[in-house]
Amino acid sequence: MDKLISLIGLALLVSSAAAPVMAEERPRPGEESWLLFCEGCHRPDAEGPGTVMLQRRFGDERMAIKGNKTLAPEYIRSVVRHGLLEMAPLRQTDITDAELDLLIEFLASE
Amino acid sequence: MAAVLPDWLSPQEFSTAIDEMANAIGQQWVIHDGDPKLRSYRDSFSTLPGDANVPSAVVAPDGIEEIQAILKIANEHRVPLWPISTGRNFAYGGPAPRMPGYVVLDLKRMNRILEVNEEYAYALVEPGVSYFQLYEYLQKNNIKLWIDPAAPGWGGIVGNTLEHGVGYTPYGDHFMMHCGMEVVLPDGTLFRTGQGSLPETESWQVFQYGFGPILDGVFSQSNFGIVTKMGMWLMPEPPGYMPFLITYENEEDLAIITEVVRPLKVNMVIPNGAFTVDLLWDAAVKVSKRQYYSGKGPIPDSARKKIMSDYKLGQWNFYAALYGPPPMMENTMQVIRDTLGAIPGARVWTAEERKHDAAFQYRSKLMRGEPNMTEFGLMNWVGGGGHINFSPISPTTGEDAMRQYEMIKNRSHEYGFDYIGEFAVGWRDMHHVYMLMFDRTDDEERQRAHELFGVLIDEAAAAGYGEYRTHLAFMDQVAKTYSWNDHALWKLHERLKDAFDPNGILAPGKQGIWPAHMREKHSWTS
Ligand SMILES: Cc1cc2nc3c(=O)[nH]c(=O)nc-3n(C[C@H](O)[C@H](O)[C@H](O)COP(=O)(O)OP(=O)(O)OC[C@H]3O[C@@H](n4cnc5c(N)ncnc54)[C@H](O)[C@@H]3O)c2cc1C
Ligand code: HEC
Repeated sequence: MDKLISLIGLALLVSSAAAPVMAEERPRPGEESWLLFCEGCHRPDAEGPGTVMLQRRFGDERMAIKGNKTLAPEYIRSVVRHGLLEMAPLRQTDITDAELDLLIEFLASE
Repeated sequence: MAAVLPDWLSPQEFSTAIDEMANAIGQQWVIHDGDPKLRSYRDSFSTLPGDANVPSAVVAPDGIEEIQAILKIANEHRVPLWPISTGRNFAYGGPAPRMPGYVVLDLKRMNRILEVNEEYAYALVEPGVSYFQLYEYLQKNNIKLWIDPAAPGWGGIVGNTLEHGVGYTPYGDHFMMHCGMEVVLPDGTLFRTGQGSLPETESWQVFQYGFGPILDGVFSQSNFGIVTKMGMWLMPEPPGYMPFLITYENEEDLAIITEVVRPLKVNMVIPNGAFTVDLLWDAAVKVSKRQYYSGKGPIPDSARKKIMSDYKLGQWNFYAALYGPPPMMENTMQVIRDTLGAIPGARVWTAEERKHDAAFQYRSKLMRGEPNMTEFGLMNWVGGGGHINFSPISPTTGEDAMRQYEMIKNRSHEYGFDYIGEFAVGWRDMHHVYMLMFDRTDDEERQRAHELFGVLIDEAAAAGYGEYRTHLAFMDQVAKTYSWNDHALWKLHERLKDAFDPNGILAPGKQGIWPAHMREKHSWTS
């Protein structure tokens, strides 16, 4: 019976309490913003459409935005707020100015 | 830049209303007065010219009281409000309102995950919760439940479900899997659907129907109320997962694929949101058109053949997945091989064989509820950002599939665009999604795309096919096609509109439903 229960994935049901709900930490740390808003398109491989586009446009040196020290903070801020062709802009309700600063710091880190 | 205002509002009255709203929710959560930030609420991908549909202001409340305060002021001054949740409705309008000058009611700040119940496998969320956010939360807390995201992970549970969105796991029909809503009506009335209206209930998110009429549907794809909470069933992580791809060599194979898929879907042999994907949709995630063809117009057959052989793709590419204990999956997989895999020219691919294929990878993630953004790679096919989706419904038959495909492909080629499409196979229907991609920096091309879209709506309707949702710019035209018995359904929507929202302040024109005071100018029903 034990085997059957774990097989069909029901064993979990023993822990019955509803999970406690975590309030989001705000201002949101840079890494969190990266995961919520950037990584999907700028992950450093062929599944990141931003990475693919930047590589096609500018070559390997400029395909990554994470860890790319040549991108000026002002430029990143402007691209995020105004968008760039295929990339839609983020709004104040997505990410505050203070959180965008944290994100830009995170992007510059290794 | 002076904001465009609705024509019945004077600048003075508008600015009084906005000041009052700012008093109610705090100046920092109001954008107005031609602030360049308003442009982040455009649809920067549509077939409309550059700055079409820019709102006159944005208000971003947090909480029911603030929403009610805004509604009160909007009613007093007759200010049109356009609610958005995560505001990523791209291909259908993004965050933008139906008309320029509306005030966007941005609910993104309300992004609390209110409850996750592992035992009953559901979540209760606010409108601003995105797929990425809920996924991260489940991961961090080691909760073995799956979400069912739309292809772009930055969209959200509430906005997508209200639009009747679709996903890729067995929970792919989002509206079907939602359970319980909390809604604010335009007059400020707050209520809950289903069991949620019983004060002591523990069953709001486990039983959809409650007692009496089921009203949830009335608040989807409509402008009758603002949804402030929604329950969503989550799929328990299964003990096994087996995604697969079957490639097909010929365009005409669409007919037989569809015929063979139907019984597999209706009998739930294939349990999830399965997709029959055309060559270019799959290829565009990996290559740009320019790499294969530098001329104008649709890509020629010779180049298509080259892409097929370079990337080991079919003219059609069928994606689905199996779930459960491995012996069950293996048995079912044999059924798949004997049916879909037995169509001449078919080749069945496993995850292992496709592990370096970005398109297989992102679909494989979607079918196990892992949100991502890879499908945005489609936008790199021509570049220039323009895209808008044409999404007619049909029964799951080979004849219908071929008829829609031929119709859309031929028109699209006639207008100089590639056919880039996929069929999302539900239980008995297919959502055919044709992504019309164009270079938005080229005005002539943009206008040509707009014209094509209008032609497709009427041609599809004449053949008996209606859209399941559409872009802002085409809501009236699509609504007009649902005309049985002299537009009886839309006339009823108008009566509901007048009852729920007598001042006509909520999302006027959404889905072609206009309030009384704008009907003379916009409506076709009388
Ligand atoms: C490349 C690409 C792939 C896509 N793939 C998919 C897919 O797989 N499946 C799919 O379904 N869609 C898909 N889409 C379409 C769209 O992007 C998604 O459906 C997206 O989830 C919708 O945006 P959202 O979730 O942020 O909703 P929102 O933009 O927040 O809401 C959508 C609309 O619902 C209404 N609304 C929102 N919130 C409320 C509320 N609280 N009360 C009342 N009305 C409200 C408003 O009219 C609003 O405009 C795709 C688009 C692109 C460009
Ligand atoms: C929907 C996909 C998408 C998302 C999400 C996205 N980007 Fe982009 N981004 C792109 C694309 C595509 C380009 C390339 C645009 C072009 O040149 O055509 C780009 C370009 C950029 C550039 C310009 C780089 C250069 O070398 O010029 C920066 C900076 C950038 N993105 C930052 C970000 C940040 C920061 C985030 C998260 C807040 C983000 N992007 C989220 C798709 C995306």
